[in-house]
Formats: sequence, C-alpha cells, structure tokens
Amino acid sequence: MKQMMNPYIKTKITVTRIMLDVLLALLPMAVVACLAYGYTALWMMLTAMGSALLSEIIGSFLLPGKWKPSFLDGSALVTALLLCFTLSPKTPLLVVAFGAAMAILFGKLLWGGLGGNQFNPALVGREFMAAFFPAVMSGATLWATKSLVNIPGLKGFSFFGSETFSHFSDGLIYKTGGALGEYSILAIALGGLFLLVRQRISWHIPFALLVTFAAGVWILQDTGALRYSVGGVLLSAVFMATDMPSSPNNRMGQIYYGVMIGIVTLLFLKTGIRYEYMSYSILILNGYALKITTLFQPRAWGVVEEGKRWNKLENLFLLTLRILSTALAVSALHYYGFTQWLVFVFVVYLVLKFRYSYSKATYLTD
Amino acid sequence: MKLLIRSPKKENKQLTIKALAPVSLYRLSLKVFGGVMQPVVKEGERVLKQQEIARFTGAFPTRLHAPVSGTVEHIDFASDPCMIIRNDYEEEVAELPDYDPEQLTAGEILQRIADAGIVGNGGARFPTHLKYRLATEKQIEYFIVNGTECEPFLTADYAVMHEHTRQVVQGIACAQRVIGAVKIVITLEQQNRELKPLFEHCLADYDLPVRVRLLPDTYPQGGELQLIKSVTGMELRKGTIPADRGVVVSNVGTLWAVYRAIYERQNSIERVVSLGSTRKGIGGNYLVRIGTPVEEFLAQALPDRTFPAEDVLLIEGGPMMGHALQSPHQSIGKGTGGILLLSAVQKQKDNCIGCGYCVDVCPQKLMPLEFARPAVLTDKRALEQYHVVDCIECAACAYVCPSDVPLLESILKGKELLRM
Repeated sequence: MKQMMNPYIKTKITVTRIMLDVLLALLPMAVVACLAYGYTALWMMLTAMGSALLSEIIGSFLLPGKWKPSFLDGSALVTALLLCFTLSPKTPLLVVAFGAAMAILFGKLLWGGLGGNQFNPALVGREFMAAFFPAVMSGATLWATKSLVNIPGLKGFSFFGSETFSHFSDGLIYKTGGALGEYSILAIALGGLFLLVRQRISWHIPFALLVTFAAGVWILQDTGALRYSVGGVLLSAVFMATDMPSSPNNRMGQIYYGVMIGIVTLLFLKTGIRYEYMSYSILILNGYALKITTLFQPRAWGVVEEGKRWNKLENLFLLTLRILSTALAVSALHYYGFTQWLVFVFVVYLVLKFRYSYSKATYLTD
Repeated sequence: MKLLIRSPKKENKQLTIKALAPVSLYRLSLKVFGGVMQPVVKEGERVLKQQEIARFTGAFPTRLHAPVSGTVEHIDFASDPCMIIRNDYEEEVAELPDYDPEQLTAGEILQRIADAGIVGNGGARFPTHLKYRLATEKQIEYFIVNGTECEPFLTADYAVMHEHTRQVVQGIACAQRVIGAVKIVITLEQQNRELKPLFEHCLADYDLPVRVRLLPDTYPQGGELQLIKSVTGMELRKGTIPADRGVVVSNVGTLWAVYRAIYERQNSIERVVSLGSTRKGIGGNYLVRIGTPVEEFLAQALPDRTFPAEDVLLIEGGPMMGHALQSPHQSIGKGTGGILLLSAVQKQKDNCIGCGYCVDVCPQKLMPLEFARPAVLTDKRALEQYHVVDCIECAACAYVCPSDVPLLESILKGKELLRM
C-alpha cells in the first residue's frame, strides 16, 4: 500500500460546500425574481438548471479525456442560475436551455471540467445565445417586459417624508426593470455579504471593481450620461468576476483585475454598448487572468528581487495597453455587428484545443 | 486567510505528565542530523544507564546514551540503523561528573550540553551545542525561546512549561550564559496565555533581559522563520543561519533538557511526548525514554490496552508535518513531539478550482497551486521562478485545499527535479 503522506488532517471545506454556499447566496435574488415575474422567472430558472445538469451528465459520459466528472458538486446549478440572472424575462425558454447547455459545454466541460475554465461559464453561455440567436437576443423589445410583471412595486419606504428618497430606497430593494438578477440591490448585497463572511469570496475583486467603476462614473459625469444598471454591475462584481477558475489567484492580481474590469466597462459604456458591457469586460479580463497571476506573483518570504521592479512596472504598463486595445477592438466589432464571429472562432479554437491537449493526466503525481 | 486548526489541545494540555514505566527492549535509532552514528559499544556488552553508546563525529557532532542499564542485544546497519538494548531492570546508573552548576563557565556549559547529546527537540534535531557555539561567534540580539507549539494535537511543550516552569527558566539562564543575547523573548500561543504569569513569577528571581510574548494561534506560527519575523520584524530567507543575523531560536523542550543536563546531570535519554487522537479518552503527556518502541508506549498509554484498528494511522510528530509509521516497532526519538492515532482521511485528488486558498495560507508567500500544474512541475525554470525551494513543507496548503489537489506531493517532486 502506498504510504499516505502528511497532512493527516483536512479542512471541512469542500468544493460542494462552496457551491452550496453560493447557491444560498443566490437564493434571495431568485426569490425576488419570482416575485417580480412569477412563473416566467421560475420556469426560466428551472429550464436552465435542468439543461445544465443534463448537459453535464451527458457530456461527462460522451467526452473522452482524463478528468473527473463533477455533476454532483452543484457547480452546474450555480452556472445555470447565474446565466438566468443576466437574461431578460422575455427570453424564450428554448434559447435559455441552449444557453445553459452551451455554458456547460463550452464554458466548462471542454476546458477539462471544473476548475479548468479560462472564461466565466455563465457569460460564455450568454454570448453563445447572442451569437446563435441574434434576432431574439438583441434589441429593445427584449427588454420591454412590463406585461410580464407579477408584483409591480413596493412602497416600503413611504414613511420617509421625501418622495424622491423613498422612491430611491424602494428602487434599491425592489424594481422590475432589467435582467432577472437585477431587481433587488439588497438581495445581491445580502448574497455578497454572506459569501464574504463565509470566506467563499474575498473582498478584493468586488471592491476594486466597484470603487474603480464609481470613481469613473464620478469623473465622467460631465461628459454625457452613462446608461448602466447598478444591479447589473453589482451582480457581476459579486458573482461573475469572482468566479474562481477564471480569475487571478493572488490578491494583488485580483485588485488589478477588478480595477481593469471597471475601466474596461466604463470604456464600453462610453462607446455606447448598452447591455453587454459587463459580459464583455469580464470575458476580456478572463482571457488575461493567467498573465495577471504571473505578473503579480507575490514576493516569496525573505526573497529580495534586485532591479526587477522596473521590469515589472514595464510589463504592467504593456499589459494594461494590451487589455485596453482588446477592449477597443471588441468595441469596434460590436459596433459593426461582428461579435458573433468571435464566438464562432472560439468554438473552433476550443474544439481543437480539447482534441489535442486534454488526453494527458491532470496531475503528474498520479 | 489565517489558518486556525481545531484539535483537542485544550483537553490534552491539562493532563499532567506521566512517566512511562521501563520496558523490556529499547530500539535506539542511530540516524542523526547529518548522518549515522558509530556505536562505541559492542554487541553482547553490558551498558549502564546514561552511558555513552554511540557517537557522531564530523560537521554535526552528537552523542547517544543508554536509557536503561542492560545488554546490547543487536546493532543493525541495514536500511534503518539502530541499536537494540535489552533492559535488565536494575537501573544501574553510570557515574556522572561532579561539579557545581553555578560555577560553570560558558565553555564548560557548552561542553556539558555536547556531552549530554542534546539536540533540538522541535523535530529537526540539530545539535544544540553547535547552535549555541555558532552564536558565541556572533553578536546575538535576540534569543527566542520557542514555546509556540503550533502543530495541532501536540501539547508536550505545554506540559513541560506548565509543570517545570522554573526548570525551563533555569535552562534559559544557562543558555544565556553561553549566548549572551541582548534580548530574550519567550513566545507563547494566545491559547496558552495562562503560562505567562507562571513564567513571569519565576523570571522575577533572575536578572535576565527577558519578556514573554503572546503570538496568534495560527499555523504555522511556530515555524522558525515566521517566529523570527513575528518577534524581530526580520524576514529571513529559508536557508539563512539565524545566528548570522543575530538571532538564536531554541525550543522549550530543548532548554528543559539543558537544565536537566546541567543541574540534574541527566544525559539526553528521555523526553515528553504527547499522545493525540480524534477519539475521546485517548490522550495525555508522557515522559518517555528515548528508544521506547511505539507499541510499548501505546500499551501503557492507551486506556483499555487495546491496539488501534487497521484503518487507524499511527503518526510520529504532528498531523501536519509528521509522518505515518510503517510499523509500531519503530521507536520514540529525540525529536518525537507526539504520537497520534488518526483515522485515515480520504484524498480524492479532484481538479484545482483556482480558489487560491493555498496562496492565502502559505507562510512563505508562495503559490502552491502552480506547482500542481504539469506545465510547471516538469519545467526547471518555472520551478525556480516560483521558488519551490523556499517551501518549508508545512502542508498548510494541502490541508486547506477544497479539492484535495496533491500539493505537497507536487512540491516534493518539484524539489527533487531541481536537485537532479
């Protein structure tokens, strides 16, 4: 029998526990979504979850490769719910199912399973929906959802004399415009605080992102109105940008990552992207997460790095330029309506990558 | 994320030290820090308790003494060099030198420590006289007494500090006569703060530049490099000799052995070992003679005298950095702080999810998850870039990983690759 190695005790934290906590954190938002849009919302969430689970089970058996199937750990459900929260309640159920399946397949399975993904699976799913169903997924009609509303609004804060204040506060807790996850800032905030307390996410990414974004909004306030959804930004900051496999692994890297997402989002808002600004910015930074981790490698204990300071600053500067250039490129592609080609190229790239890279061991110590 | 590991320390530390009864056979390992000792007695020869039976000469000189009087039954030079002594139960003690402890010079104290075969109690077993001798050649600003027993389950150091506080202080005073440090700092974990007044009470009788500091209960606060930073603010790279930077760190158990050598004329033939288990009722702190086979130790220490079941792991040391024993015939050594009975934990080896918990808890500020990637593990340049040699193998990363990625195994493999 192979000698068992130290340590001989283990923490109780497992991947399943982390996923369960995330699901709990998403619960308030799910409840609010159902309050706002009733059965429409419920069916969307159930469809997404079902499609995700099914895709994961089928995919695990069909796809070759030496990685472990993880359909029991709850991560498929998390991806499905997060995807739903970025969608309009008017999205047809078939498209939702397609999106969830694509999120699992191209956002997770083809990367080698849980933890292997370079991009946020829910956002990958969403972009696939936009690429393959452009007519359905774009345009203002998607967001004209008044007819589907279940419970129109709250008047909870009316005891505060001021009309505008009570209206604003009501809006924080509950409103019915926007994507499924955006109806209650309070619910998102509660979910985020829960995850922070449980140490499932750290404050670095959301904090960096939100502070940068807020600062940017304040700085740009005189240059014209910026149209964005506070709920959307908060939801992405807390749940999307903090996705573990697609974000940098060290703290300083995470702060830079959060800041850059903020900057890129503002860039997209300025160039007039109305709905996809968060998805695009996070996906772009996902692509650079590995580079960011390497660049922000912490200084090891007692190690003195002679003269590497300027080298690192230079690399940081160049990386920032590359990220901003990528953002401008995507912005242009969006303007000319070519973003779906990015998705098609991505499909080809990932299939080839899977075919030629994932037949070896996950760990060499097997 | 500060790593706090829960274990039954609170219950175990309150159990007073029990001396283990002598056993029929002692198996003394001849392996020491830096090599293998040469026996100075022959097979069949009768030896007295405290008599020198083996010696290591060379860069790291040290000695071994008989824990009982008896006959040298066998000397084995195979894969696990050891000497087996059969106890004659007469407890006949070899004659020990006569002197006044208070009149010893620094040089004589050093010689007595060397003659007694005292090595570091904390596990590394570095010859103590050598460490102190190196210190005399430098200006020492900090003499740190390591009472920060951060491994879960272990309470051997606590027991010594609790029951023999005055003796530990006398040991510190002796060491200080050799080291001559500007400041002495006794470090304790927050959870053991009741020891602070005990120390301060004894210290009042001595004119030493000493203070007692309480440090967080996090793991591995007691690791030498982390301890030095917490006390002095200096961050020493792994591999640095602390004396070169004006620091000496010594374990409380070692200092107690120094006291016993100088004042009680006891060579290093016994130490306190704690027994730990996740099962209730199994625990305690024991004064055990070096060379006691673990099965004999358990026969006396386990409440119902029954040996543990098949799936229970027998571990020497702590649960984080200790190692599982191949057989219960192996024995207690000078660096054995504890014997643990733990159920084997399941290790699934799932995919790394990039959570970064390992990066958060690494005391050396490394990124353990990188070492588990095949792309890094097979690349010497990458291994150097990520500083794999700076890992102190504390296993905090492997403990905290939600996916059971084989982090420590990968790190060891990486280190091996760089050695080739």
